[in-house]
Amino acid sequence: MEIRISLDRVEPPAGRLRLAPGPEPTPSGPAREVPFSGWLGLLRALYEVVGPPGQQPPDAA
Amino acid sequence: MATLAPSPRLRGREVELAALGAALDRAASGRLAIVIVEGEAGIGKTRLLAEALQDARGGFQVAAGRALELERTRPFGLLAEALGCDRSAADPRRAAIAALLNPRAGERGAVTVSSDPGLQFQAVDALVDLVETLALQRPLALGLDDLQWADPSTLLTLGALARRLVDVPVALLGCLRPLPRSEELERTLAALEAAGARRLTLDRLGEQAVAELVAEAVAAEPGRTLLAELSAAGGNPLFVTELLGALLAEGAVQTVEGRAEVAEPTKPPTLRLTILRRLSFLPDDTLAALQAASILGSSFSLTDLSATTGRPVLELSSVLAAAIRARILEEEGDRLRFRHDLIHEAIYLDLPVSARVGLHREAGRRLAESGAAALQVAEHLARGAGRGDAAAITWLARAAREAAPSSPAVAAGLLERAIGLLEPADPGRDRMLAERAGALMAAGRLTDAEAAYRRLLDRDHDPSVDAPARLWLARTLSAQGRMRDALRELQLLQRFPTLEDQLRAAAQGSEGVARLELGDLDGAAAVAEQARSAAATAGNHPLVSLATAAQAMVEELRAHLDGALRIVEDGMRLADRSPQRQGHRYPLHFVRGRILLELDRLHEARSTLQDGRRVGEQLGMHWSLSLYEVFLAMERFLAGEWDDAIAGLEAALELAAETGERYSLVLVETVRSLIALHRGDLRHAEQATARAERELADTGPRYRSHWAMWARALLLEAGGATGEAYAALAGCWDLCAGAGLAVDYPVLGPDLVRLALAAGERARAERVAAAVAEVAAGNQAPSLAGAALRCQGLLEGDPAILRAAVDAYAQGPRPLQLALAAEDAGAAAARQGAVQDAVPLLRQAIELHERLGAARDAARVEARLRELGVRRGRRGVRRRPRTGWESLTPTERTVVDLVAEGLTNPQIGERLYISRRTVQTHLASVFAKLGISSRAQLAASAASRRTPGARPD
Repeated sequence: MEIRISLDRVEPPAGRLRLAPGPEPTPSGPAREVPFSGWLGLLRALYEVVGPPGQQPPDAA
Repeated sequence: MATLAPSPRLRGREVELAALGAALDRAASGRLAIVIVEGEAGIGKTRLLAEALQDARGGFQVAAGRALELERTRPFGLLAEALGCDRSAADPRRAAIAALLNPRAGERGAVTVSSDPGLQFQAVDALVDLVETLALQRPLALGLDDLQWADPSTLLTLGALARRLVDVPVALLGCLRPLPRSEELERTLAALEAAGARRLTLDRLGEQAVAELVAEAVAAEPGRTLLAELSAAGGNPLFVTELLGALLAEGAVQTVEGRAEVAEPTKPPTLRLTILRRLSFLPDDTLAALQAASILGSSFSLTDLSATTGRPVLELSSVLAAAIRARILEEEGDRLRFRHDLIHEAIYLDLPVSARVGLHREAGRRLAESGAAALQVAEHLARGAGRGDAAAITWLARAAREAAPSSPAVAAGLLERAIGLLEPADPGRDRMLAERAGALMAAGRLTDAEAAYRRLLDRDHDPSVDAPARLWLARTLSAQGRMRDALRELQLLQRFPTLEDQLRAAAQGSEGVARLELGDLDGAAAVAEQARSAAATAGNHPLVSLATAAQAMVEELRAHLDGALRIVEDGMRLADRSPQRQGHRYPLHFVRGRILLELDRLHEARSTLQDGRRVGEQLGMHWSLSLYEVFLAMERFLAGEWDDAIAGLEAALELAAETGERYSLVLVETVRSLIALHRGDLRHAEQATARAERELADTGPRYRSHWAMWARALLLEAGGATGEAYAALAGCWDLCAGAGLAVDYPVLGPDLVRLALAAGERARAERVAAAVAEVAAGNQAPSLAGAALRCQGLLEGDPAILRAAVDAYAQGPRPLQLALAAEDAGAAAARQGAVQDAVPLLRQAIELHERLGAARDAARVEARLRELGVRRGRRGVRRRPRTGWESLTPTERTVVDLVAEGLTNPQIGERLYISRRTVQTHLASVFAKLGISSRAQLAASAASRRTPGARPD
């Protein structure tokens, strides 16, 4: 899959994240743009688009 | 899936733990032990400290605290927290300290940055006393973490603690990061090192320790790939733990047959991103609450979080439970704190700058509404402020004024931040600059204060600050001993046509003192009278006292001692009728003490100087306490108790070092030099004289600075350079005569007559003897009569007159002068062949010198006796041994007895009417003489001496 990130600011990062359209279905349904702010926001946007790593529940730590 | 163990054991720190254990052992044996652990964030300092304090719990009382970045401006915050100084504390001493640090409205009058600069020192004394008292009940382990964030007052106290409590069972264990390093921290670290602190640097963990840490955390043997992945953490335990936690949270670690492994290695990002990666698995609500909490610092209360977010405490508590479970937050009493500062920092820095600024501003506003402390409100508003933000500036200034009495250094820092926010053309800018300079002065940063005042005054400035700023600049210069510079500023100030009466009177009062110091007695008398009259009209009682003191000193220096005493005693009666009479008596005690010394009324002098010192301590007026110590030491010197005098002089030096005051240093060094000279320790005498001369070269002349010339002359004479000695002392005399300092004629006269005669300058000797006789005739004091007779007797080489001098001195309390006169009389009698008259006089001189410990003088007289064919046989010069119980002075013995009773230094000081610092100096001397190193050992040793049959040493 291809993920495109547009940055409005670098540190901490802020912008929008989008899964580029491809042949395979995505875990979060049809491709859409997710705005984010900060590294935390970027990670959370990523999980929203592609699903969390290992599909673990959020408070697994 | 494997999860992170709650708290893996400390790994790879055996050497450091052993060092901390050794420090605890040392403290348990009764000695101060200090260890400072330094290392990068996350390296395990906090954990190491916690482990050491846990080990200490069996035999120690444990007091622990951690400095917070956002609370660097809370005066004494770290130490007060560690020692549990809270208004609600059951222990009245702790509650009293809390009240001192945070007075309720109405408990203290209007506060400005310079209204009560001594409170800081009162608080330092109170905290050091508390530590001493606690530790003498049971050894105390004091663990202080994150010292790089400690407030300046806590750092000042740690320095004092290290200097004063060397013989007390305290283990001071501190941790800090390599950066940031404030000037105050550097000074404290230097003080701790001087007190024998051990510095430990925590390095990264070795591979083995990392493997053990991981094995325990995942309850399995770590595989090679997992360890390779974790090696990116560079042996930093926090990084290792966070990275492992992230891998576990992502489900990347699989445990198969007892081996934990990752499928494929990845390149981990920085520690900060690793932390965020782990945090990213928390629920949205929890993350948002953590972000809001990060604005409040690394430790926060739910009440404050509720105030700043507007969410109920109960709701926040539920939301943050996930963060506690994930070991992001820890509960700490009634507060929550981020498990590590780096976790806090990662969340805080992940907020966009604009969000941080907005959140701080909002937090400040809401905290102000909820009645939070000014410091807390100011901290947030300042972080959220841009140039010209009136609310932030107002709160910073308010916080500075609140902090000023207990921590002027903090006040200066807050005012600096407020000034940084002011528009360049803000009409209040110069007032704030002047206020900041005042705080710097009160903090003992005299040269910084001087520079700040000068920068303000040397450019176009608000006319309303001109006069007060120049007055304080002059006082800053005076405190540095730069009297000429101070006088110049005071004269400039008084030329202002529109100077307010109060300020003019204050300037005149300060000018009177400066002129006195410079030996301009007529000028001092004139302005002191103007100041006194103006102050009386204005009802300014403290200034009336100061001006009266200056007037009395003028008369004292002119050797009109009875008149001087009358002035000062009238002043005291007047002060007693004014409000706050104690404060107004303060400068008068000092002058009265000096005059009584001149009149040979040593007991009364001592008592009045002790009264003054006590008032000074109560008022926290440390600026001038060192002068009281010096004159108390002078009394001990005149009374022949030279060990006590030395202890007092060292206490004065310590006080001067704490306050930055240099006023008294010349006198301290001169008296040390004189004692060393009479004892035959010419090396130390030379060093002390050189220090006094250097001090004068740096700062300019001041009260009794010519005594340094006197000490130099005596040193030259001791080195055989009689001609040069005469020239030096004659120069010193001329300086006094030129200024009319007749009070020193009897001090310098006998030496100058002797040297003048040796140099063939009989006319000079005659003039000197006549001048001393005139002073003696105008005053009633045995030593003045003795000095006059001694000068006359030396001049005429008449043993009968010198005998009369001996009789006169014998009526008074000055054994050194009596011994020297007896030596002169004996020598004169011997020169006339009256050996039978000479021998008893010389014997009397030797006995007195021996009692004083004046070895050099005793040896000189002994040589005279030998010239007469008299040998003292095996008795010889009886010197007190240098070590062992027999070497202790009477005061040292008394101090030992009181230590054995379990009294603290302040309690002993109260019992003996000496300062706690002097007690400490005596104890240091006792330890050195007895070769022991703790109070406990001393008490045991003293007890065994009292036990029948016990060996004395």
